[in-house]
Amino acid sequence: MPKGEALGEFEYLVMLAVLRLGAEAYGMRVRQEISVRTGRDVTIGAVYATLERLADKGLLRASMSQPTPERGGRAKRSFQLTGAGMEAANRARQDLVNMLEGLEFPLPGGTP
Amino acid sequence: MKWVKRIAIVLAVLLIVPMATLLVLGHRKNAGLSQTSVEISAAPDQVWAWLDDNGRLKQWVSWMVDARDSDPGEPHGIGTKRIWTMKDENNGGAEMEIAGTYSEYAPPSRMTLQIADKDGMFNGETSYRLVDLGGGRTRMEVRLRAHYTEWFANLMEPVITPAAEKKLAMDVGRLKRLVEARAAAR
Amino acid sequence: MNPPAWAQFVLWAVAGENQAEFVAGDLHEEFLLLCAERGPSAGSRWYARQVLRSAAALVGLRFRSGEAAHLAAAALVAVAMPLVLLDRLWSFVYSHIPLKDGLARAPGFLVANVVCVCACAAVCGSLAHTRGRAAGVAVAAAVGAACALWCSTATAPWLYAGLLIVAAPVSSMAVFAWRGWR
Repeated sequence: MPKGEALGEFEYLVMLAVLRLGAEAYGMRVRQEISVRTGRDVTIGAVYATLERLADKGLLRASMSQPTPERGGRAKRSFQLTGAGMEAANRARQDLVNMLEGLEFPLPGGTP
Repeated sequence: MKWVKRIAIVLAVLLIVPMATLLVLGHRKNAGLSQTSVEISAAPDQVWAWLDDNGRLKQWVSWMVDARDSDPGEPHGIGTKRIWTMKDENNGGAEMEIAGTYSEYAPPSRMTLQIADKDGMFNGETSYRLVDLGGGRTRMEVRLRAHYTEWFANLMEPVITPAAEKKLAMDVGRLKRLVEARAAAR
Repeated sequence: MNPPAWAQFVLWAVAGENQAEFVAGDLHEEFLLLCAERGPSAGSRWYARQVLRSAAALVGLRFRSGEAAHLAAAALVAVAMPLVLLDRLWSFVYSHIPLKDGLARAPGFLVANVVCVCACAAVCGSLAHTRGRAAGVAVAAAVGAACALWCSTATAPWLYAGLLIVAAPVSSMAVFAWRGWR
């Protein structure tokens, strides 16, 4: 795989959150999904920067919705994985599985 | 890149129009000539002392840090030389030497020097005329004609000359105040 | 119920026109939920923390989208550079005056500086398509003028400096507004 196509750790988390959320995958929901599942307090800025970067790479596709009152009358930008995004996510998972093969978790001395 | 092109066009227009104007103005009749005159409440010989004495010259020509005769001890006259050292604030405070050779010397009424700076940036002529108005009053007329050797300085001459004239008027105004204060103190 | 006004202002200032609406909408939505759960104070504190911690990432996004490049160009290329070049030109002129002169500039030269800067700032303003971008260009032009004044070797009256810093952004906004009315 050419250098630069591999997903960073946070990029992978964002893509997985987009995958989980389906049609509801927009900034705030992605941020909440990562926060709840990983315990990390991620910022909306970091999420948007990553979403834009993935969109620039062609791994995500953006779509606009109508403004709503609960958003202060502002539009929403939702994201979905593209075909290339699905392939990248599959590859990243396979890389992780290959690296984890033969290792036993939890590792001695670390917290589970 | 659209904004780069637009800014470049505006800058080009801002450059070409003034340059064309400067080229036209550079061919006017009085190009390079700065002149001023002032009436001083002092006799011509009192005013003359402030033009001829190196120590007094430094007091009314601003930015002059030194004035000396090329041949100390030799009396001023046609052919003798004076060296003026000016501090150039617009060139990082660098000191510039300007040499003036007397081409006319008739105290206390007329003095003309052919001037040139040491670095060859400009040459020209400066002349002082003192007219006795009677009753202890003198009219001093100063003319400075400069020619610039560098092509860009020649192009900018229509901008340089008015600034030089204003500078000349300020220095002559300072001279008037000094001469009159000294004359009143006597 | 609304988030703190200062935090909203900071968000719109750093996020840029491409992202501000979506980020503001997301934060507003979550702010309302938090206010309902934990109260308005907690909601406001959370909103402010999110804005401040997100600022660096959002500014970075602006650069990548080219918007910040436009603003930087407005400040540096269009305003600061011509002013610095003009300052060097006048220094050259003044250093060629026989019998020398000081650092104060003739009013005509100062007027030429102001005219040139207004023309360049107006061009930058003409290239902005949204109010947010025009405001950004205007601020960048003022900052560029201030930086060039700071680098200047000449002495400049306060009136001239103030006029330059005000005239640059006003020219930029005036052309933007004029284009909108045509």
